[in-house]
Amino acid sequence: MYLRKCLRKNIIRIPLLMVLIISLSYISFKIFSQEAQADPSSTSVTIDNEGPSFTVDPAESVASTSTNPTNVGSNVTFQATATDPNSDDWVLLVCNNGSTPVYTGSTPECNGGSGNRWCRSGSSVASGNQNTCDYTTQAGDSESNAWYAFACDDVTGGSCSSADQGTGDSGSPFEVNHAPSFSSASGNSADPGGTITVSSTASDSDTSGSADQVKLVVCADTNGATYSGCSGTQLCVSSDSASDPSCNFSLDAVEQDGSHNLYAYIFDSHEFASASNYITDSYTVNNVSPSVSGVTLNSGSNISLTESTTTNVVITGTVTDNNSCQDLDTVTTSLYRSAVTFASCDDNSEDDDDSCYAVVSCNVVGSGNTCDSDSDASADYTCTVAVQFHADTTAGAGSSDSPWYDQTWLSTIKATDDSASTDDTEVGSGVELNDCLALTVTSSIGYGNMSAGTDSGSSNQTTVVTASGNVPLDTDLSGTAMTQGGCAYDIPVGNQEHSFTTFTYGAGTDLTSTPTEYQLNCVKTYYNGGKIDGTQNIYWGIEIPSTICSGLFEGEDTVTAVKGDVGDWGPGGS
Amino acid sequence: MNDLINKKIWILKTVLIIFIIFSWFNLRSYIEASEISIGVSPSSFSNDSLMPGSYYEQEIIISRANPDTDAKAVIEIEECSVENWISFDPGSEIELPKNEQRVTAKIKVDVPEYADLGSYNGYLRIKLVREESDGQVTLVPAVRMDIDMKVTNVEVVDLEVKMVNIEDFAEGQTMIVMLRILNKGNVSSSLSKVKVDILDLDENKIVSIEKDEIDPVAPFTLDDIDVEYDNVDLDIGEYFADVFAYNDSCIYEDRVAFKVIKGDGSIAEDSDREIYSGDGTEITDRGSNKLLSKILISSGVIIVCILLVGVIVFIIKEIKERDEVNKKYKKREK
Repeated sequence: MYLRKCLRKNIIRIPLLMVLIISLSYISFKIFSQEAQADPSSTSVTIDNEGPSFTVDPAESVASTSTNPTNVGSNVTFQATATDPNSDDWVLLVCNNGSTPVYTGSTPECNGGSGNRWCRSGSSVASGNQNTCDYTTQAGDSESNAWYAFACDDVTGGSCSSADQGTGDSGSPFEVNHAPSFSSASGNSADPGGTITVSSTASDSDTSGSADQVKLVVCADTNGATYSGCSGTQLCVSSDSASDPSCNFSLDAVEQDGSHNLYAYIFDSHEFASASNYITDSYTVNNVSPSVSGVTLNSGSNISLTESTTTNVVITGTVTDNNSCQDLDTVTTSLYRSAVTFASCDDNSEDDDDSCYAVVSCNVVGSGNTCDSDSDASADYTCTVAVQFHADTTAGAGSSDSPWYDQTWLSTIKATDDSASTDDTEVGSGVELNDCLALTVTSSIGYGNMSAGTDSGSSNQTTVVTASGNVPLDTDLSGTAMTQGGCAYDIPVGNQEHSFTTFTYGAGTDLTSTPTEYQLNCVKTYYNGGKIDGTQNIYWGIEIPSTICSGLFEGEDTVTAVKGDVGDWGPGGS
Repeated sequence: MNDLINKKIWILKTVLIIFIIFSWFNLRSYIEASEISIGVSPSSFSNDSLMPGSYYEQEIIISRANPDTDAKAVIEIEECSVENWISFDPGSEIELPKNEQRVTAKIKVDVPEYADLGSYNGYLRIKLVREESDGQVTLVPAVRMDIDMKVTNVEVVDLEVKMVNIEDFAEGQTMIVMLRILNKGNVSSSLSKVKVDILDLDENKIVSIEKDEIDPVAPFTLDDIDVEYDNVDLDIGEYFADVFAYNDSCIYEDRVAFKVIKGDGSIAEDSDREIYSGDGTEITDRGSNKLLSKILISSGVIIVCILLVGVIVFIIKEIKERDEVNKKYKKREK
């Protein structure tokens, strides 16, 4: 109760009292302080600033040595730890000389100016902490570069430690690796299966430790490369070489001809790429001639023709091209009588249906050895030649059999690739072209209306005989008596007469019931810029007996083709 | 008046020209239709080195350029003292069907053991026989083949190689060289040796192999003889072979091409390019083809996975929908 009353009474007095006490205390303090300064007989000391000192030697964070130099453009990172006696923050300064750095304001600089500075840390760090700085190596740097590190405090007019070059591999100097020079690369040319050599002009001037060597990496694309090889398709890699490295690669046994780009890279012994990477050049796969083999003609069998028309004769062969079967442009064949020779039957202007079928197109077979891909060298071809019925026969054992009995028929397949290189090969063994004995005749003889006891006089009926094979013709003629059903009389076979020239009845030759050979002398059908048919007429006459029934009488005459004589082979055989 | 006459003349001329053209075509077709033909190849049946007891057959082609009707070829033997030695296949009457230009037949001769040595001649007349007749005198076309045979006791050896072939074969398998040989002689004969030089595509000789035990060919026969070469150590690839056939001396040589293929019948196409460094050290090429194939395989696997996931999601969805339908149905029932 008393305390409460007391507080209420002095509620204003207490704060005033407190203000008074504080004011007096301050004044007293000020008076005593002034007295102390003014007194010359008192003790005092001034502490000078001191530079920091390294507690952990400066070093390259990654040792830059002659065996592991720093590539131009890469950083050399210096690091160190220092303490400052004044607890000042400190800066790492790396110079190319050991002279004491100088300060501009609070910034230390290498003696001689910034040109002598490798690097300076970007900011200061507290005493006792590690600081770093980076130097980006330049193309103009020497291979070996001495350095001196200083720890400098970060105060105005500050000071630095003494120079320190570190120790061991991570100590001074740092080594700079310069890029190799690379001015050219070139690939040569080779046949499929051959070897391509890629040459280069490249070198490296670095000699620190040991002289740098250079290595060539050649790629087929631009996907990039390292010292180890191409990222994409690799063509070849050289071994390390003092200069001008080269490398080789083999072409596939089957490779399309033409120029192919190559992309060349150069690296030095330290796997440092040339600034010129990559250089583009090319190599060339030479065109090589195709090769024709395995030519067959009618499967090795003799050829038998079809009368009056053509007969398909099949010729086959294999064409191989080391630039791939797809390199082939045309494959043709010629079929000819051996004495004609391919040299005289290799152009359409030399076509002669008797003896030469030139430049007939061939096609790749539909199954079997087809042309599958650009890595497939060979394909089988088949050629069909439509041989005319009058082509010269080579069958027989003597000249009486054929003027060409001592010959055969041959075929040659000629392949031409897309570079116009050619090859041609003749069949290993010729085949005989058999003789074809054939005739075409008018199918009947119509003597017309005649009276009993009369003859045809000089009015002949004509039968045209055509040599529709490849031999001349003579003929056997025979016949039967002409009869009429129900009639007791007939017209004897001998009442028909024939001749190879027109005649008046009585002057012809009587037809017989047994075949009789006559010299028809129908020449062989032959070719003379066009087909010349060998034809011969047979003229017929008849005598009607005086006693005979009226009405239609019918008979049958046989015209037999007989192989003609030597003299009737026509112009080709004479 | 003149105009009218001229007009009539013009009409008459036109009609006449049309008539002439029409008649010419009719006449031409008539002439063409009235021609008939037959051919036979070869034109003789001959063999001058038959031995007593020997057999010989010869194939002939009977042809018609315009086989517009069915017909027959009838073969008759004439003026031949050894008619009973000769026979025909399919017979002496040979069907010549409509639309077939060429029909093959065989003439066969069996020479008896007791046959006298000497020459035997005669004729074979082959007549074209048709059903219909063409007029008062029907002309029958025919061809006459000469028979010219000689029986001898002199052995004749006469081999002729007509072609060779080497079929593609699998790596490590036997190489078979097929020789088509015509034995024109009258005794069974065989080649004395077959040599094969195998070359690479650059025509460098890889190996030379030969064999001297060759199957014989029967007399007067064209036959295919296989010569097998085991242990031909060839890599997969394409090759040339120079084949030399000997009958004491070399009677035939030819070059053929063949492939050595994988067991599955394909030929290697993914061969790595051989790469050499400057010092000759071989370096393997990791070709882009392999990378491409890996990408393709990976893409395929991914697509299959996506499809599988899709199918599974679909099935789950279906099951859920069915469950919901079942639940609703049960509720309605309750």
